[in-house]
Amino acid sequence: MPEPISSVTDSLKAGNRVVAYGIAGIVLILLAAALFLFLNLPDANAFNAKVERIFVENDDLRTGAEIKLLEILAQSGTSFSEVLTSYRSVIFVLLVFSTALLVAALVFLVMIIALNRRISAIQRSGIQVASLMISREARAVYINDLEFALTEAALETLSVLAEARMDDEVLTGAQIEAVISGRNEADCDEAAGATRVKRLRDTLGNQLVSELLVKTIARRGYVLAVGKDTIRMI
Amino acid sequence: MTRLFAAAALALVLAGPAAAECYADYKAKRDEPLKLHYGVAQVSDGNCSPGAAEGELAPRLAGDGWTLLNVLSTFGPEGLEERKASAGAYFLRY
Repeated sequence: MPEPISSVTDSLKAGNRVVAYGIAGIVLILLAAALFLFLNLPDANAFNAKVERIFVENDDLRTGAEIKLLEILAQSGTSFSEVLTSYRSVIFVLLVFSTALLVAALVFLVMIIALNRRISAIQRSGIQVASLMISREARAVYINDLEFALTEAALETLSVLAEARMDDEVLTGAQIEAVISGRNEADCDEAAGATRVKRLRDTLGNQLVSELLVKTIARRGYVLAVGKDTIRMI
Repeated sequence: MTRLFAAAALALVLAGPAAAECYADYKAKRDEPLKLHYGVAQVSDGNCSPGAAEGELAPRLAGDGWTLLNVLSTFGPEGLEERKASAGAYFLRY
């Protein structure tokens, strides 16, 4: 089914664009917030300036003791300015954290959307083989963790086909027969290989259908192995 | 007659600077850490007003790292005694 696959890649591209714009937006907004915060934090000298103004505006503040008191006030304000610088770094760290969290949240959101679309596409495209494991010892093949028992001959054919697939090769019937029987390809009959493939299809196909579609329930009968709500009649 | 006038004028010129002493009390600061002081200083007679005294005092104080904040008033020698205690170490220092 080519349509859903192409729509998935399209949506992925659109998703990447959304992620890029989203990240840029988040960084911009938080940068603006950081600038606003830093510019609005009171200056360390604000307290000194206030004390100085009190000193200038009150003409009768002139004795040594009063002036000493004002100086002590200004010093306590200056020590508060050290607290302010630590606030600054705390705010900066928090902003960096929130940026990272927001970016991560956005990326995950878009990933979830893309995954949902892919999953629905996969669901529509039928049986997808995610893993295929051939076990010669158990004389079985595991497709998506479902076990299917095979005859010796069918297992041989499947192994040959699997090896060819790993090398990205396509085999003719004669080639299959040649590999399995060990004879020269020229001496082999195309029909012999075709028979082997037919036997493999018959045993595996029968078991696949009985596992995935028409289930046999022992001593009771047969039932379709699909959800009730997925069936529609037209 | 002219001689009399000249003598009087000469007497005025000679007596002027000697007789009129002018003082100003001011407030000054120094930054980092903030230091404040109230002081009394002598200013020349030509600058015997708060505005003019500021112009004369500011460079004098700046030489020692102080910034002049304002000049409160200017006064003659009779005002020195009442301000002496408040000015403390900065009484006639600059």
